[in-house]
Amino acid sequence: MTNLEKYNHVFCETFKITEEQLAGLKYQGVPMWDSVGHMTLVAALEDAFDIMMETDDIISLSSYEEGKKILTYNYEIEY
Amino acid sequence: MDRFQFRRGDESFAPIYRSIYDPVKSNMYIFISSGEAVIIDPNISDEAAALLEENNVHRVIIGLTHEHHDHTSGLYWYQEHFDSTVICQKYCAECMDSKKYLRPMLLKFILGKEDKIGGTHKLEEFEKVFVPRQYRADVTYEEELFLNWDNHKLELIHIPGHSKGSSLIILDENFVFTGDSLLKDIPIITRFPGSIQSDYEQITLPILRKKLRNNMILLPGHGNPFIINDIIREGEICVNFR
Repeated sequence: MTNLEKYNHVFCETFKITEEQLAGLKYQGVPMWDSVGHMTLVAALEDAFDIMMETDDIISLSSYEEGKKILTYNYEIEY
Repeated sequence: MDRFQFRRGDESFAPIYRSIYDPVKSNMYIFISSGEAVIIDPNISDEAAALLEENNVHRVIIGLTHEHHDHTSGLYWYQEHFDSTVICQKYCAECMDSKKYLRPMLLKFILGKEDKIGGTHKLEEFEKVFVPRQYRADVTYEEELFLNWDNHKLELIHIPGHSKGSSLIILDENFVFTGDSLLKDIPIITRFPGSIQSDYEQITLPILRKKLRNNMILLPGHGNPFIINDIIREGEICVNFR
């Protein structure tokens, strides 16, 4: 599985959505991406990429696209 | 600090004190007897410290309803200042002993979001006072534990669902500390990492049905005390999930 596939899989599994819904997806954009869902998302990303995210990054992860950037710039995850 | 003086008919119970942890309004409870205290879900509180000093408390039994940080934030303080025994479910203990426990992610995220919306500095304030720690429990159990303490009875029962290491803690068959596993008018969160809704439905609900009786006082992890009849709908314990 490529990193992009892993990243997408985490979002789809966590929020019970399809890949078609990922582009433009923002925090609170679907019912399951609330504060609780956010914690599940972070835990799943950490497990999938074997990283530990900083608090600032957890708070800044406000959209599907922003998350990609954070993982690339701060955790060297290439897509 | 709140002081609850419960009565049943002519019977009057020793008071139970509550201190609310401000960042997310979670409850700590204190019950004192003969210079010792049972503390459920400890947070740091000047009023609680004064109360324990006034009552010459030297030894504390600390029970944890579950492993989430808003229910354990003051644990180290009581360990440092008292002869303490920390009791919790096995998974709760394992979680608190892991490196990940040094990061109170949910608390920080909630406060950070509130800051962004309201222009406050709650996260900064929280980080000034929160002491990240890993913890070792003194006593753990898998399914349940019974303790006799200074003519009182404590019963701790594993009730997974909200978290892997959640417990129901019953004092003297009268007072039930439910943590975040049974709240009044607040859905039970079963979407955290470690939460499993089917565990709640298949394991915890039958335990609640068996253990909870009409005359018990339920003391939740958030919100005010209630009785089981407050959440009975059509003869069944009414629980919603989030």
